[in-house]
Amino acid sequence: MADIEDTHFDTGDSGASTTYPMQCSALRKNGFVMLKARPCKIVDMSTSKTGKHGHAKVHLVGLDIFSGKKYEDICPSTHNMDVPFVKREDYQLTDISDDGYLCLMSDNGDLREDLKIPEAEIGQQLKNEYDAGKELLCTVLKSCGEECVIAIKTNTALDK
Amino acid sequence: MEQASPSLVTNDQRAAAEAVFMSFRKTNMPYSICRYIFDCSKVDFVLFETAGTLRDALIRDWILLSQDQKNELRQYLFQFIMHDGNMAPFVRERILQVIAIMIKRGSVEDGGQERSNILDEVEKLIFNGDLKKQILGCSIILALMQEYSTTVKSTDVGLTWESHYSAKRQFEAGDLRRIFIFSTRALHEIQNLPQPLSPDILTVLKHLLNICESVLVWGFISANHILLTISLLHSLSLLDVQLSSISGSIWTDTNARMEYMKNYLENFIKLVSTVKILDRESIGISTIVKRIISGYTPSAFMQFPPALVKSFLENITHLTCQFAEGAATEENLSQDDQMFFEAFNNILCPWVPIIGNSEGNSNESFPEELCKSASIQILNTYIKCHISPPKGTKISDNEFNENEEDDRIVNKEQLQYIGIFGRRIPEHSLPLLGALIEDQIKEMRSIIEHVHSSGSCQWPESFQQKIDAVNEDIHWLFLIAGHILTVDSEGEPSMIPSEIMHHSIEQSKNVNMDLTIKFLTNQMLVMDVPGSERAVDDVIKLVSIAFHLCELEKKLIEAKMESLCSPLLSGTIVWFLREFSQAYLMPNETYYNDLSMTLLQAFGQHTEAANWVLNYLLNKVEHNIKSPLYVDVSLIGDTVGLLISMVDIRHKAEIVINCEGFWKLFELQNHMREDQLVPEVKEGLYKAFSLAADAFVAKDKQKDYCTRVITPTLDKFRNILSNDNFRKTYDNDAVRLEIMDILHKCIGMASGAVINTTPTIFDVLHPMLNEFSALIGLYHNYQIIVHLIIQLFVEFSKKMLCFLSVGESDKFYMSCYQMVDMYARYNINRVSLDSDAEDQCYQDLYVFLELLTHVMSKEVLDLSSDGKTTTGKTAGDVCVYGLQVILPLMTIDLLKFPALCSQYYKYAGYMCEMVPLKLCIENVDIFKGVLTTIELGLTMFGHEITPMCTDFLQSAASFIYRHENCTMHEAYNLLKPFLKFLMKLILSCQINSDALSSTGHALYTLICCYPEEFQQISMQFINDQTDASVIDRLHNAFTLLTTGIDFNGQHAMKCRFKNNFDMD
Repeated sequence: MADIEDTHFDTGDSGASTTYPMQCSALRKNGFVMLKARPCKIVDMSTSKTGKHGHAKVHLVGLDIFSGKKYEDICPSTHNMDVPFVKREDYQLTDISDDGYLCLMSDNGDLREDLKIPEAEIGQQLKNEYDAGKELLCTVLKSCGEECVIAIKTNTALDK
Repeated sequence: MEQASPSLVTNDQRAAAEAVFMSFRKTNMPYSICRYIFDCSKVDFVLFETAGTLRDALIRDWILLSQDQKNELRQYLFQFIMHDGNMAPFVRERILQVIAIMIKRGSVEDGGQERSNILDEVEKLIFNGDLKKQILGCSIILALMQEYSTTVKSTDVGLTWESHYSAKRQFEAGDLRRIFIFSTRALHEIQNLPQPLSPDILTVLKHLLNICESVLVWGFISANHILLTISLLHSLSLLDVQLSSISGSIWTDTNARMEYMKNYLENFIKLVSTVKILDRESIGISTIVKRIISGYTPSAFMQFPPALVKSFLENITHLTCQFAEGAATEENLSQDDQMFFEAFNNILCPWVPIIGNSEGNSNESFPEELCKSASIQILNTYIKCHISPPKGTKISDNEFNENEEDDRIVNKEQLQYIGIFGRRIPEHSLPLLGALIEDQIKEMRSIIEHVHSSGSCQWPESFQQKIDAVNEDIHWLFLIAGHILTVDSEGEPSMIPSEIMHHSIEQSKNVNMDLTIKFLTNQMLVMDVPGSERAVDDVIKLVSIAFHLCELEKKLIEAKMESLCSPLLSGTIVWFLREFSQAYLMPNETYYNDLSMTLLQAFGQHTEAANWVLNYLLNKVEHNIKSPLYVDVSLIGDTVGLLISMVDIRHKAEIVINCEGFWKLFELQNHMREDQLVPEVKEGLYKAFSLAADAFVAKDKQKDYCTRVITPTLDKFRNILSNDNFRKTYDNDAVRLEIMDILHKCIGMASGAVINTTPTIFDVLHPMLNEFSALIGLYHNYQIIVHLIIQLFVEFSKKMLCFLSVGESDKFYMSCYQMVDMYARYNINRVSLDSDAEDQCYQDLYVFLELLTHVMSKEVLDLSSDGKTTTGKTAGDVCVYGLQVILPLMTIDLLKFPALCSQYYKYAGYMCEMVPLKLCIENVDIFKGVLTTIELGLTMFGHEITPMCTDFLQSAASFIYRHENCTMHEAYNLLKPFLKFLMKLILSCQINSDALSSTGHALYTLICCYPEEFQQISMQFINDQTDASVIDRLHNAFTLLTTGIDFNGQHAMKCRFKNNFDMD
């Protein structure tokens, strides 16, 4: 049981690796992959060939999970691609500081105050709902050393 | 108005101009203004629009206009086109259409009197007029015929189908015949003119031939009106395809018919043997052949002189080959127009009855020798066109088009026909294909030799072309061989074709059985074993070649020379092996009258050789799932298909589950790392493992087997869940990959459940289902896992639910509730910044609806054997609950995804029909929510959705109408506004005519529910009008609509009402 964590992926580096290799053909839509050194979610995947009897190459289209920017790559199907470690964790919003930082509490009660209010509409909505006294859950996306709030949800889970 | 034609206008101006035209089209009584425009304007587009307005107005106001007004208008239009010689063709055609509509509408009232007078005039024009008038005359006739016929071009002139039908019948009875007579007379006159004809005369000729053709293709209602001077026309236009099929009640005298056909055939042969057929003519010619053969049975043909039959067959053989070559040239040149391709496909079809009856009475079939020689020629030509020089003519494809479809799919029909030819002459086709493939293998060997000795895997482009050409040739030869050896059985169990069986029996006299088996199990080739050519069975030779190529592929991959292999060819061979194994491997002997001992000893049940073949194929599957060539999803599909073909028939599965190769495959996938097998392979393998469970009839054995299959996966799952750290490590990538791996295997397992195995498979998988529905909460941030979990539920509902007993269904429903609950808990009120957030919602909701739709079908189709009824939750409860969860997530933007939109409305309608009580009365809040979407759906998402919404209203209304004390329920009031809404939509013509018939039923049922409101609304609509004539018409319309109708909810009344509604 205990070996789940340590058997699988030799990262090669000192252990601080942010990605692991995976055979290109095993990637699938909605999974993650590094494209042009950015962590991306695969939104389209197709195989193409160099000729009728040629070998397949995989054509990947991904969206940067942080910026939403689109990246593409072509890779021979037997090669390995880097897959980013991607985490999404939910935190409860406990406060918003004057300089726009969020105070977030994780499931086990740890507090953190290092994330800013997200830009765009969702940030404003977050602020409004918080000011209105609603209980908010924030989903924090973390990958390749970057972190940001990617989704918010008015907490109905608690009142069930 | 005229500012619309120049292109230098802004969009606003254009929109304004368009608005002018749109409102102009709806102008009331626009006749004088139209005439004014005709007289003054010279702009084609304006004239065109004006004619359109006139047409619409005439259809609308027909009964309001007096006879004089109509006559005068028609005369005016006649004069107008007669005098303006430079009118644009599209304007002329539209005006002619208006005239034709007027004549037709008029003929409904006067029985065709006026039309006869007009035809008199036209006839004069054609015989006495100058060229322009002749052409005009012809055009009028063509326009008129178009209106009377039933085509997409004819206009909806506001007549019901019945009146159109009777007008057409009346037209056919007299004037159509008359038109035909005088156009043939005119043709006759042209025939007597000195050759060559002037261009002007040719134009008239073309028009006249058009008219004749239209008469000949006329879809007659009663087909005995024309027995005419056909031979005259025949000599004029031999190419007229229609003549080849003149048959039926026209020919009352068989002798005359045969005489005519004999004459026709002679002329046809003369034509095709003297003229080189061009590509654009080829389709017509192929259709003639098709018609001739479909009109005359082989026994009828045998009454013609033998020389004529022979000559005819030889000529069509030649044509078939010519079209095959033409199609190949088109492909070599990558032409867009593929007329020869189409003609070739077309001309193959009549060959089936020609060469079909090889065992029957000789009087009822074409001469054996002719058929064989034709088959050989056609097959040879086809092969030649698909392989490269020196034996063939195919030019290697330099340009590769990514989007090109699979040869197997594009040429499916062709290959099936070619298979028929090949089976007609197996003694020729099978050895030929074997020899040709072996030739290519020889070529391949020299290529490998060359690469090997050069020691490098880099080679020039020209060398690569050589490799590709060899692979391409083998690919095509196997496609042809596969279609000869097997017949696409489309769902029926595949069998050994009788021709092949007979050939094998025939051959067995010379076959050396020991050598044959040795050949097969050692993958030998004829060219390597001197003297084996006649000693080995032809079928087995081909199978052995396929095995040989599999071995070659393995060796090349081992030697790191896989760049010489073609994934496409590899896939084709797997396809060939699958087709072969379905038909030949372990055949059910009771299906056959005759059996070849050779085939039986090599492939029969419980023979050593068959067992060897089975293991060989299982080994091939194992090899492929690890092979670097197999990444393309379609190739994987073929490999999985090969495996499934070995387990989806019980008597084969019984043998397979005891095969060493089967368990080796199982162990192999169990010990591979999660990312080494692609998801499709995992699902495919587990589907096959699951299907194989059907081999056990005894339940305990079946259970043991299923447990054995699922235990490694189940153990892995339990280990993960029981890990103390799971709450912390669940979102590690490694753990997530394992969870996904487990899900893929479970999905595969569930998808292989069949009626006999469902209780067992449900039993072993269900405990995991509950765990997964809980995991949906934990993994809510990882869409790919959430999606797979829902997918697992879909698979359960699709494959197993209908067989589940009450107790099992209850368990399943509870898991569904839990899953839906969890999903809702984490997705309602959530706002995401993800760039593909909308796409995610779309995907989730789409599978959700799929799940609910399958669950709902339990209400209709329950095949469980215990016959008990539940006291707990039903499928309907799950569905209503699911809908409640989905509704808040379903936004207008999401409904704009067409697939999701139609899935949603289909589901809503389905539900309202199946469980109206639960929806309309017991869950009125949900009903309210659904009604909001129905209101949108009536107008917003196109006319495919509208009928789904009216069907929903129909079901809801008819339920409420029948429900006791219906007015007490809130639903009664909720539905009420839809009566007015629907009436408004109908009166303002916002409902597409395709959706109208379902609207009629909905309206009737709504009126049943709300008769008083209907009266009020009708009155209100009438009172809102200011124009007296409109008030009158509306009043009449409402009266007509309700005359003789009782609003009592009876089916008969509903139909009668619908008829009134359609007429209205």
